Amino acid sequence: MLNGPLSILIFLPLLGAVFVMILPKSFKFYSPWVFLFCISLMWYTFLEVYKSFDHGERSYQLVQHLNWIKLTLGNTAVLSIDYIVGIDGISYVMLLLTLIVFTVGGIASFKVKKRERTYFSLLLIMLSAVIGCFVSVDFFLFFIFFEFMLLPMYFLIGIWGGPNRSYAAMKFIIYTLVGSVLILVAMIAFSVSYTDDFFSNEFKKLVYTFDFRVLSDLTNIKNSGGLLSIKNPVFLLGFPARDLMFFFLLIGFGIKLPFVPFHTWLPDAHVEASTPVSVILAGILLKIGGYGFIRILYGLMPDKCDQYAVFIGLLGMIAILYAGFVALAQKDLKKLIAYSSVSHMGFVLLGIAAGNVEGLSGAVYQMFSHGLISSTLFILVGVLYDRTSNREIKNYKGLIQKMPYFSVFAGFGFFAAMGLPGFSGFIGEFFTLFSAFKSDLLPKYISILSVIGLLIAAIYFLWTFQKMFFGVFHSPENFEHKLVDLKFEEILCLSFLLILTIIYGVFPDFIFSYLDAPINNLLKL
Amino acid sequence: MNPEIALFSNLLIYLVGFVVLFVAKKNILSAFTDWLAISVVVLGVIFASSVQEHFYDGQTFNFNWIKIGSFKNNFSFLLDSQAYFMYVLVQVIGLLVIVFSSKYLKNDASKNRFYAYILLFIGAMIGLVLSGNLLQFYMFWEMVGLCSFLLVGFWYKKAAVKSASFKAFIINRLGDLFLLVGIFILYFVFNTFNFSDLEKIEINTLTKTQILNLNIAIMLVFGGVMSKSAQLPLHIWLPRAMVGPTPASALIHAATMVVAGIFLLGRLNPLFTEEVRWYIAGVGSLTVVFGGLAAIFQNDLKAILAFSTISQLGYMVTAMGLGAVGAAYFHLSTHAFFKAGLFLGAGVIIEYFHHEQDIRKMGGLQKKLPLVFLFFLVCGASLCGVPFTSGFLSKDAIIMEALEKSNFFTPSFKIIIPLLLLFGSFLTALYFIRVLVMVFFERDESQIQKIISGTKRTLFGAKKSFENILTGEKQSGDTSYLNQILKEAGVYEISLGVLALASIFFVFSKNAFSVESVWFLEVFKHESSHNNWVVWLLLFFLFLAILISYNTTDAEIRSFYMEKKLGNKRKTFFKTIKEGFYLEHFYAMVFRYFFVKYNSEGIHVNQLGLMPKISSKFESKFLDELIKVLITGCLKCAMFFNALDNKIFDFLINGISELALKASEGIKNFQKNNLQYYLLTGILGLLVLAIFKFIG
Repeated sequence: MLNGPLSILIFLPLLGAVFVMILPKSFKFYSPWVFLFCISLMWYTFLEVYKSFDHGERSYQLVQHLNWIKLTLGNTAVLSIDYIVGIDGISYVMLLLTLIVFTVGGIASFKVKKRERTYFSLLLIMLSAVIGCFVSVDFFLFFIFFEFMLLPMYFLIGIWGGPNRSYAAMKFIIYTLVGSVLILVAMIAFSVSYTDDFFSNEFKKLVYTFDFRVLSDLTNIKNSGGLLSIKNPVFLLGFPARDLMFFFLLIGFGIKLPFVPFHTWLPDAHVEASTPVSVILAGILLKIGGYGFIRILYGLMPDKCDQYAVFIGLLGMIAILYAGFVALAQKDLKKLIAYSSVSHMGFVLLGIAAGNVEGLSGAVYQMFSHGLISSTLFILVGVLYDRTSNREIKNYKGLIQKMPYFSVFAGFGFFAAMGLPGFSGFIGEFFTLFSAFKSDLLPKYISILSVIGLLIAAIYFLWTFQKMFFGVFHSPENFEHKLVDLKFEEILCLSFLLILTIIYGVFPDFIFSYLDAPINNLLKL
Repeated sequence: MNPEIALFSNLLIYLVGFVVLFVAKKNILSAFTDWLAISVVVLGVIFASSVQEHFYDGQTFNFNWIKIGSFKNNFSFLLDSQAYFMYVLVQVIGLLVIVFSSKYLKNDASKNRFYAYILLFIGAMIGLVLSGNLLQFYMFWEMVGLCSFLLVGFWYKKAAVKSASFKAFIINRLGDLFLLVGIFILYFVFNTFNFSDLEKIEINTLTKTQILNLNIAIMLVFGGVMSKSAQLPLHIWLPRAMVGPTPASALIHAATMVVAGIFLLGRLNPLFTEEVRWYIAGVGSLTVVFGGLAAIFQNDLKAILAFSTISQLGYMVTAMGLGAVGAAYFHLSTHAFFKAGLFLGAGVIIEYFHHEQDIRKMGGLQKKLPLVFLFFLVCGASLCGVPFTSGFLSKDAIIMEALEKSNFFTPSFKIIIPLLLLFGSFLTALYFIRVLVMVFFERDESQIQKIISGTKRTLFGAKKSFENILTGEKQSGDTSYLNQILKEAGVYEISLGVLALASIFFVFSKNAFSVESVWFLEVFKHESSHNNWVVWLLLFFLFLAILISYNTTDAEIRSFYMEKKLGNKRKTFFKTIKEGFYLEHFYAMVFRYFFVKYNSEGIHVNQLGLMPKISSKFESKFLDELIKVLITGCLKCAMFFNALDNKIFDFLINGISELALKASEGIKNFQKNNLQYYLLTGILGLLVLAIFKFIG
């Protein structure tokens, strides 16, 4: 029944999680290996997807449609919730990123020496949920997976985190639950105002559905009585219901992305989370917000996205500049990188606001590239934290002399994060800015002011780099013998990520070629 | 070999060279770093010469690169005369610099890293000049900036390196952003990134708004050029950038970094409107004078050369602004040779004085390093524009162009540009003679006597030694001085000698006095009329400058040793010019105010500037607090409802049950087997019934 490659990708890690859980205590040291085995099987499955992927297909492919819940509403209508999975270019790119980040996160998790079995099973459950999010074509299914990954993340931060972990985990869960509630409301509103014409004729009943393919077609809106009708707007609390739901979704996914002012959970969560959890949080979880923006906000409400483009663009600009300035003020290296993440995700918003092919492609590309680069940066911080349990920038000086390999990787990572050409960050930033400038929807000043974000990023990354690595080696005495250079698995993770960053930065078409058809479909071009 | 393959592999070998040399530390490769680096560049020159026949017709070679929807951008090489000339020049200068550094950095443990950066630098520069579109150009443009940062920060342990490399990178990044927005606007107006399409645009056919947008775009692009080519308000990084190794400075100042901006002006020259042209020329000519003035008052040998570069770049920018592309490139190439020569010479001098860079503490080098003196003299003469040198020809070409374009004999504000340029050439001679006198001459003898006899002796000796070599005779006794020189002639002298030789007129022209016969300008189809009086004017200025400079420098040296104090007013004046009118301090102040305070040691993050302070305050005092308030608010609510639950609802429910209990307690008494009560109840009941009946 569940035999498509996508279903395998969803359920394989769940199986792995069960396996890790029932592992006898004496075998608990094998749990990371089970994880890696699982991941490699998934890479193998992904290879199948890669082989059969059709670049020209505008809609979903490898679709698997199973009936799940059919709820009869009176005699005239039926609510249909289905298990539909399928991918297009956008989800393909995200899937690739998921596998890369989880592979790296898994390798970085080898150090975990506390309740390994729980840790790795949570990691696998989350992997399953994340992949489910990216491949589901049904809003309800998407929402289930979206909710499903909160709890593992909560425990991963709350159990394996730093000293202030329970506060951070609580903050994380409260924020994201608020977002989920808003998305839930919007989802219900969607389901009751769109009907599936084809099935409606077949069943001789009104069929309400959560299928993205139905919801993204504006002609499927119920003409009379639909809550989200464009022609006859229903007013809720004095706002047209469609606008209200748009803002619910905007905030719901905006918390996840995150944009200012809903970002404050992120720095706390990052600071308290352990290195691999940070990698996954920044590398993948934030992208689900961006993915939701593109797939749901843009896919289902293109009319409202155009209408509020300036608003979204401004949010992006504010995120870029504001988070940049806050990052400049940080003393904790990990916090600095967390804020730089917020700043970089602002470019995603900018590209989405631009609403043209370059913009949306640039936004997806920026998410992909940020996934690689932020993972690199968090692993770099993790290297220092593992050795000294200290992340204060001012405690490190002249590290080049003490840890040359680490310094080289840090140099590459920082310059990649600055958006220097040759690294993937440049392509994402260039195309989002370029599209925002080119777009007819946005005033020019948004793009021009956002460009300043590149300067700020250069300032804080370069400064931090100079402060920590230049000069004569100096640090509090007890650090001196602790600061040993990179270990094998760290070099493995870092070089894997950096090589990918460079490859995708030099050959951006490796990503863009997947995005062309689905984004044209999204824009109805 | 296919030209596109040659170009591609040329870029690739630099990249490979970078990677190989970067890892060539403490392993078998580290013994061959010199040879690896040299062979990469030699290979590059060979590749360059193999595509020679393709550049005349300006070919473009395309590779598929980025395609998003209808937007398409190829990875393309545009090989025309401009690109080809730079392509060769960069590698030739690079080769000489690497040869020079093989001795200069002999004892540096991380020499491999230096070579790696240099190779990356040359590679990025080649990529830049060969770029066929603006996107690709921008990528290499930023990479060039990165390489300069790496080279300036090469000696990362030095205290001054931090702020210098930081400044170099940030100022360049600022310029990059100007350029980026400029590129966006250009795309907005013309819908293309390709140079070959941009070149074909006729600006006469554009509408008024298009012209306006174009002007804004070119101004922004020029903002990028200002930072990269160190033009007036954004020049401050260049003098600081000399904390890096001297050969790196030679490369940055001569052929790579700073000429990237000039090259961009050349590429986009067909798009300049009249207003923009005068703006660019104005900035350029002001920079000429500014750089010259600032150079006069410096005491650091490398700082003088750095300001001299700024001034000479001003000439090129002015020429580009005036549309004299050929003259600008001509000056670029002559400058590349003599400035590289001067910097390498400075490297030798500084090494000789054990890393002392203050020219007031030097002196008498003429005798000790005679060949270096000779080469330095030739390069410097070329810098000043002395006849028989290439610098004379190129500067002549630019000044004549300026005179012609500004209609010198019809009075308008435009004549200020050639006047500034002439004044600049006067200043050039002033500061160069100062360096020459201070560094090379004996301080107790009469200076004029010294230079004449010294030059004579060296020239005579050189002639004699060449004769000796030709005739194969071995001399004894009286020419031992020269034999000694030739014996000592090593890597330094060879690389310097080549550069000095290239600074003499015959490399570029048959006739030492006529710009028309310069083959170089013919390639660029440069047309100019020749005003003979300009030459004489230049010579007059030169002579005047030499005279003045002798006297003042002499006096200056004397007062330096006597520790004579200058008058206060004069001192302030000199200091103002020396510090570049405190522009740098102004920037530092603005930067400190808005971003973060810093000093030469690094950055004090705890002293934040305005913007980060406001943002982080907002973050911690408002947003975080807000969330805390919300959460505590929720908790308070919960507590309130809890209290409500406990106090009111529970009270009510409990109250009712208690009431029932109490009531039952009371009623209980009725059933105590007490007969009177039963009777009483019965009677009362009957009574009630009777009353109801009665009423009903």
